[in-house]
Amino acid sequence: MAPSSRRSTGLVLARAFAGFCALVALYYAFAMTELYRTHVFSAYARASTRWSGDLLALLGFDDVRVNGLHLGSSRFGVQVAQGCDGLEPLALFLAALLAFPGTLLLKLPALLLGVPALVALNLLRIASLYLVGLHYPRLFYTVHTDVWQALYVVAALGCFGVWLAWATSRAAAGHADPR
Amino acid sequence: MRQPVTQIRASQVAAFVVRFALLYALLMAPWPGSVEAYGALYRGLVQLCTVSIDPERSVRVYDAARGRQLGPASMDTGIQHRVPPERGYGDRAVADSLRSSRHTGYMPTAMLLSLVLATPLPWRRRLRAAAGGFLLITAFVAFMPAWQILPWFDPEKDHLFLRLLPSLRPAWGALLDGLCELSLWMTPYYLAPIPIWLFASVRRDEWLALGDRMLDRGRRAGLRRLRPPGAA
Repeated sequence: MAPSSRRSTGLVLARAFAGFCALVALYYAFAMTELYRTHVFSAYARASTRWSGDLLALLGFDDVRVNGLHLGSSRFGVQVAQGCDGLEPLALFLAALLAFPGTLLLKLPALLLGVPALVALNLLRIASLYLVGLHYPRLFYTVHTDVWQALYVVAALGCFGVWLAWATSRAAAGHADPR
Repeated sequence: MRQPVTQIRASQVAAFVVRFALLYALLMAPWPGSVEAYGALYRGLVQLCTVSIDPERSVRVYDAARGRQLGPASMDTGIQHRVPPERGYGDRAVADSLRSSRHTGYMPTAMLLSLVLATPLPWRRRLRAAAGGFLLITAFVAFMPAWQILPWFDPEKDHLFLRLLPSLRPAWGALLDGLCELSLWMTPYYLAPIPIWLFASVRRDEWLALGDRMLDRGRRAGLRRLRPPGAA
């Protein structure tokens, strides 16, 4: 590859990295506002709590009740708090996806599949935390902090990696196609 | 000549996630003495980073778990901050904060090492990346408490950097306040390993090769916005 082409690719990647940083900074600036707390976090966390309750009901835990950000029964309950809502890894996934070079068409599958997959994983996380707290209360803190937090961040990273693998293989196939 | 790793397959990503989970579980397992050993290292490093924040104040990092059984959420490290009485802070002359060395130190380190060692690269590169990454994450982990205690125990929100650069105060004060607030969340500890892992593991030519693949698709489809600046 010619050095000038390499340099220009480097410029595009540097621009993508700067775009990623700017999007992340914007997200965190917004996350510290009252508007975010009262509208975005509150709405997303309430919906997550409700859907996690529905998931538990589907699994036969009919005594689980949802009240705002609290999910629980007479035996155990969990409260979805800011920072434990799963929004940050989701925001970082979106920022990486939007900032990386590529058309919207190429990114659409990641938006349509990756975002619902991460939201679903978060529901599973909340429901599983309730079950762990119910049956193994001594393990609750470990599973919440040591296991799920890291796993969820790596799941977001994995979603981006799978999209990147798919997108670059499409690109390679397109490049090899002589037509 | 060394060849850049450019081909990523979805199966490789899946295998990476599984390898990461196994390594992370292995490192986070409650090995006897690991919490105490890492805690001692952590306190030494934090003390090193906080001791010179301000010569008029003293910061003492101590073992807050001495003599008690450590649980998973144990706040085993205390940071005591003392200002001289003539500074007039009244009852805030001594302040204490507690933190868990496991969650603010060991966990991000384990996460980084798992990410690096799970990456499908030649072992020599993995080990080199693990060593470099370990140094970077340790610097981050040791620096965070110093960053946090700057405004916590200072009623005037008198950031050290702003004292050095007073002309920046109005514009940067809010930004630094925001960063200090952000540093109190747990998420920086989960997110910091990722950029450090990418920086330590992926070479520049691999980024470029990856970018070229994406750009080739854009060129073929005739999409202008994918063309690098100056490309024909």
